[in-house]
Amino acid sequence: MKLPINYQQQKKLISEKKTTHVEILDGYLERIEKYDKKVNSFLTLMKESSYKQARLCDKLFSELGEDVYKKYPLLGFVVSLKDLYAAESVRTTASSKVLDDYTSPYDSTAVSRLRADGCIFIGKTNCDAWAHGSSGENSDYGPTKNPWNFDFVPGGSSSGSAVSVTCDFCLASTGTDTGGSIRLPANFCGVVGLKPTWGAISRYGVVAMASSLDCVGFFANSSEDARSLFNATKGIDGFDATVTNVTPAKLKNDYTIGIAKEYLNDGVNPQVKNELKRVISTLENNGFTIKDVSLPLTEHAISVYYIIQPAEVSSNLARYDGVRYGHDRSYFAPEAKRRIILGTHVLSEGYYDAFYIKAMKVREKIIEEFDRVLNEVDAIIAPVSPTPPFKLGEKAQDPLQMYLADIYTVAANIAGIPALAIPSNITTQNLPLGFQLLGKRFNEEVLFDIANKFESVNTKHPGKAQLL
Amino acid sequence: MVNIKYLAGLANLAVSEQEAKTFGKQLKDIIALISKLNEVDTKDVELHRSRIDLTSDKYLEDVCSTSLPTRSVLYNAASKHNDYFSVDLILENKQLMPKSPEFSRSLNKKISK
Repeated sequence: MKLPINYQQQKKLISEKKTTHVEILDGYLERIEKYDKKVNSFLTLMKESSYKQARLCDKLFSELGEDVYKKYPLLGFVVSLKDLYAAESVRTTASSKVLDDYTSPYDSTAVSRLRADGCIFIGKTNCDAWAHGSSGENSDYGPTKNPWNFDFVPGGSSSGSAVSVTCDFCLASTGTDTGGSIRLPANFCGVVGLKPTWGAISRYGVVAMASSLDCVGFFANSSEDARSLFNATKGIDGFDATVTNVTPAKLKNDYTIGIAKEYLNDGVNPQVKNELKRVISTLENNGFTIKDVSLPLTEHAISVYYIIQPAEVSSNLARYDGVRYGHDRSYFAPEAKRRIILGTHVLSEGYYDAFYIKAMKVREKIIEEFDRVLNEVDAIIAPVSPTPPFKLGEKAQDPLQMYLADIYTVAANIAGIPALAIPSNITTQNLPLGFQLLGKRFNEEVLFDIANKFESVNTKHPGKAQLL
Repeated sequence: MVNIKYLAGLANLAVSEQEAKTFGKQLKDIIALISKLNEVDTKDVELHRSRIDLTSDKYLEDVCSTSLPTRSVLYNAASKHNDYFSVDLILENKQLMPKSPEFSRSLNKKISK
């Protein structure tokens, strides 16, 4: 059974009658059946409804032919959903036992827009409970494993989403990124991960973590597929007041990319650093201008993040009282409790000014710094993680070490700017390597354009995990 | 020194002695990290609504639309009574009863059952 590598190829296979939507779904579900017990990426499969959708896609295609894409531009695009996304009549747990038996009465905006464009939803994926984590190990339903090597973490918090894409369990997936929860697993699993501009896509119907940082985003095999999903879901929906409609920036023929010395310091693993240098020279050899820039406040982004984020977590998780849905607060696991307690502390009388207000002020300065640098360049290139994937259990007992895995991803959330994680190579241990591009607010199209150009000249793409 | 039990109480969380001890140690490390922000000079920073907050002057049209059916809203409730969520009595002292007559009536009805 030949499964598509991207949506464009799927459309070609369908149009040449080499396969059908039902056959593609068969292929994905066969692989899930065979391999998912090894990686634990799905919590709920939507078998019945996905077959119903696939049969409808086949019927529509046979009736309308290629014209069907005018009405349903993503017809038959098979997507998995991080278990934070509400989908009508489907269980949504946020990977926490608090919501073990919760069934969503409605669709989140992202889901309803993808549904309207013809996407097929195959199931709900595992993640760190409440999206709290960088390794996938904080799930109340057991950790997800890295399909490249089962002893390693897949990255978190959207662990199952990234794994489902690299394992060919679906063509793309939805995730959420509050401090790196899309880019880190994308990087550790070797797939593309998009964290859009804060305010580009509505979070309505997606379990909230830290609302001034939370973004809805995607995993895909190519930047082009991530772009399609982004364009299908962005824009005002009337349910999330932070969403803005912005006309995309014009694309250019030559881009200037900034590299900050702060991203190449001694704390970065040599393999990650060398790969970043190789990517930079590949870009340089292909007509991109590279410019040295400076982002000295980057080192403080992680401290700002671990004040503002738990503060907002403590407020957002206050709604879980077990009255309207879910279980009571005794079902919270240690990581959620730790963040709620830390958040309560930084917001409490006597500490509010010293922590929360201070962090908000430094946040202002970080935003200013990014705005200044992004006036000089079209994008900034940076590592996603200071190290390649780490081993399961390696950081599980030390929350501070785990938090430091986010050191290069949190800045984009603090500044509200878009970021795209792109796979580029493998390590000597056969684990994925990659990098991220950070852009100006609402300039996702520029990032996709640069990534697209890079993908077409990169000779060392990691490919897919071999699940044997 | 962070008083874990006190903070957990504020957040309506139960923590065991062992958890309080572990969290206390871990939070000490985390607080040391976040305290590094004191190195950043912020005396000239004016704290207004964050620059990325684009919500100012945005109002939604006041439009009526169909809401979710009551049945599906109540579907996940642990306990319900007719079309209401049912909760444990919170205020036992009648003098502290909220003034709203509707609320008091519904509460009295429930108590009498």
